Amino acid sequence: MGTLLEALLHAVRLIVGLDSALLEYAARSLYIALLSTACASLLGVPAGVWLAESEFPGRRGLVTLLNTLLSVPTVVVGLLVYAFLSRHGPLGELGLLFSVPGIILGETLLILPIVTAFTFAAVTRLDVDVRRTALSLGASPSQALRAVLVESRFGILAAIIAAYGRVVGEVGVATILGGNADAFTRTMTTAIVLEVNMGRFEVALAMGLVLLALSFGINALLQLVQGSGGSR
Amino acid sequence: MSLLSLERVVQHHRQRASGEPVEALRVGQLEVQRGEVLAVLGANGSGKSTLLETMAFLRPPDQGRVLLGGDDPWPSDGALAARRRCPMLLQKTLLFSTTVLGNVTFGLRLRGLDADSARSRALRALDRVGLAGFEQRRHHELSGGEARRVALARVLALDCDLLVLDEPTAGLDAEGSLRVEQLVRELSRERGATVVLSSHSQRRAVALASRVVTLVEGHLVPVNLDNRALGRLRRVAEGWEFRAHAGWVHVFDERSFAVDAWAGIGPCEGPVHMGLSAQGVRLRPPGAPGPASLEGEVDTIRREADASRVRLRLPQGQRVRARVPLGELERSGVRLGGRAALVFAPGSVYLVPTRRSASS
Repeated sequence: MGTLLEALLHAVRLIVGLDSALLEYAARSLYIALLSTACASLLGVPAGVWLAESEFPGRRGLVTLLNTLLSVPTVVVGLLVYAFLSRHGPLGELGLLFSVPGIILGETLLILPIVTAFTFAAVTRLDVDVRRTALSLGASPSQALRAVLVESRFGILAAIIAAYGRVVGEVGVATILGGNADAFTRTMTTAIVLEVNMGRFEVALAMGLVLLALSFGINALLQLVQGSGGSR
Repeated sequence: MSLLSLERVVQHHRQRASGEPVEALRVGQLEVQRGEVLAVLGANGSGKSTLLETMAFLRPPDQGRVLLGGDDPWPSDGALAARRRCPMLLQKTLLFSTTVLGNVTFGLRLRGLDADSARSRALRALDRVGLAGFEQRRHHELSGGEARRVALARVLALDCDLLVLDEPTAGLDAEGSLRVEQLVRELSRERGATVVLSSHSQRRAVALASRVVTLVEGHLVPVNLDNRALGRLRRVAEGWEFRAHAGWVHVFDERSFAVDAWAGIGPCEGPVHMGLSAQGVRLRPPGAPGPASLEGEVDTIRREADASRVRLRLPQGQRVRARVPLGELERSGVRLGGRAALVFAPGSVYLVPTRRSASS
C-alpha cells in the first residue's frame, strides 16, 4: 500500500513537474498507438466488411485464421517483422528497424486482425436483417450496404477501441522493433520495463499510472463519440 | 393484364448443415389483379415469407418468372425499380438505430425526397398507424407492438399502389390488429391499392381479403372462394362460430389413403398430403350419390359446446376425424355405430406433394 501511495505521489510529481522524459515517452506512445490504430483501421475495417459481404471458397478457413491471429503473442509478431526489416531482410533497405515507423508497422500488423475480425463480427451480426429491411424499402445494393455499415458503426468503433487498447499497452513489438533507444524509440511501456530492470519500481509504477490515465482519456473520448450516436 | 404474376416459380433454401438446396416453394401460376387484397395462408414454415419476398422482388426466382405489369424485371436490371413500386413489410421487425421519424423517412430519403416533404409524409403515416407524437422517440424506446406499427408506417409513407405485408398483425394486441386491418381495408377501398398479405390466421385473412390462397409445404393450393361464400365466411368470421364452420380439414398422415376416384383431383405421383376444404365436405347417411365420397363406420361421436367431433373408420382401417357444426349431425341422421359417408364437392379436395415419406 505504501509503495502504491509512493508511486502515486511520484506520478503526480512527474506530471506536475512536467518531466521532460515522461512527456517525451508519453507523446511517443500516444503517437505510435494512434497512428498504428488509424492505419489498422483504414485497412482492417474495409477488409472486415469485405469478408462479411463476400462469398468465396475458403472463406470459413480465412475467418478461422483471422481468429487465430487474435491470440498471436506480440513478440512473435515483433520477431517476424524484425526478420523482414533487418539489414538482410527483404525490407532491410528501407531502414525501418529501430525506428518509430518500424514500430508503427509492427503494431499495425499486430492489431490488424483485431480490427478485421471484430468488424467482420459486427457487420455479420446485422448484415442479413438490415440489408433485407433496406432492400424491402427500395434501397439499391449500395444503399443497403451503407445502411448495414451505419447500423454496424458501434461494433466497428468497439473494434477500433479494442485495437487501440491492445497497442497502447504493448511492449514486445516496441522492444524488438524499436530497440528501446532513449530519445528515439523509447515508449512508456519499454521505459517501464527498463525502470523495473533498474530496480526503480516506484518510477515504473508511476509511469504505469500515467499510461493508464492516458489510455483512460482516449477510451473516454471514444466512448463519448460512441455515446453521441445514441445508445442501442 | 394482371398487376403481378408468378409463372412456374421455384425457390430453394440451402440446408444449414449440409449446404444442400431444398425446395422451399413451387408455384405454377399465381396472378394478382389490380386493387385486390390477396391473402396467403399457411402454417409456419409453409413458404409464405419466401413467396412474399419473391413477389416483392427481394429474391430472384431460382426458376420461373415474376412479372410486374407484364414485364420481368430480373433479367433487365429492373429489380430496384420493381422493389420501389412494391415495398414489403418483413415478418421480422427491424428498426434502424435512430428516431421513429428517421425510420419512417428512410424509404423516402432513398427515393430522393427533400427533408420537408419526407417529414410531412412520415407524420401522416405515423398518424394513420396511431403513433402521432412518437416521431422523436428512439427505436429502443418502443414496445414490440409500437415497433411493428412504425415498420408499417415506414411502408405506408411510401404511398405505393402495391404493398406486400408479411404477417402485418404479428405481435400486435387486439386493438392494434384491428387498426391495421382497418388500414388495409382503407388502402384497398379508398385508394385502390393492391395488397398481398400473409397470415396464419384464416379468420383474419378471410375477413380482409378479396381472395385467399393457401400454401402447404411450399405448394400453392388455390382456394377460389366465390363472393357468396366469402360473404358468408366474413359474417361468420365476425363471431366465434367461425372455427366450427370454416377452416381447413387438414392433411392425412395415414398410409395408402384412397384418393383416386374423387372429382377435382389431378394426377399426383409419390407421397402427397391431402387437404380438404371444410366448406365442400358434408357428412351424410350412406348411399350418397357420386364417386366423390368415402363410406365408413361411425365409431366415435363426441359432443362439444359448438360442434360435434365424429370419427369414421374406413374399410381399409384408416380413421378420419371430422368436426361437424352443431345441429348438422342431427339433421344428417348419422348415428354412432351406423354407417356414414363423407361427401366431397368438386374442388374441395386437393393433393400436394410432400417431402415426408410417411403419407401417400
